[in-house]
Amino acid sequence: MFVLITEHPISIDQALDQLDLRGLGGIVTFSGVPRPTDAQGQELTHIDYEAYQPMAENYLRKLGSEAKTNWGVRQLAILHRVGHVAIGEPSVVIVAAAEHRKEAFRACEYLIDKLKQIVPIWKKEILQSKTIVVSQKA
Amino acid sequence: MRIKIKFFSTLREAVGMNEFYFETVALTAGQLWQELEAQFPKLTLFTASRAIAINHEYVQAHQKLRDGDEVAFFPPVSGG
Repeated sequence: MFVLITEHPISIDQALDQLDLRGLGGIVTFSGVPRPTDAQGQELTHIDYEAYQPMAENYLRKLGSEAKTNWGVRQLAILHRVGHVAIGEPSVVIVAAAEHRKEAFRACEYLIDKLKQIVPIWKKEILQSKTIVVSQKA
Repeated sequence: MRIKIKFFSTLREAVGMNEFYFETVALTAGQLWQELEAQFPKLTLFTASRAIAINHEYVQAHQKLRDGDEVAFFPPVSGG
């Protein structure tokens, strides 16, 4: 399992490079990318992400272990960016690889859903005119 | 007992500090929060929604403290 929280840009290719995918038939990739506007349609300049890094890595590994136990996924990568993230650049990347696609899809969806619920990372949307802190979204 | 306190996101902004050591007589994480509220009244705004972690694990307010623990308080997460 590859887990990374970093201030540097992240990509699906970078995640795939960390995994041994030989013999695996279902490889699901997800990237979460900041949209150019907030929930009210106001233009954003960028998003600042902050993490409680050791705890966030701890919980990403726990979630990865759960995904392996629940769906038998064989290879996992979870990457999250912190600091200044430009609109259109990935803030989160997940790869879940299993022998078959269903398990990989389910594991990937589980990981992004749980990441957003429990992993201690926060975003602050930076607007042209002011700053809004976004709390938990459903 | 001496506890390492950490605040994140809106709590960090309210308190103006992200990390410090704190001498406390609190027995639980919830009692520690009450002591911190007395010191930083703005924290009261967050009492209903804040989460608590001890040594990188989520805990409930009744969790007992031990000398040297790292206790973090933070608002609902919003990563992804």
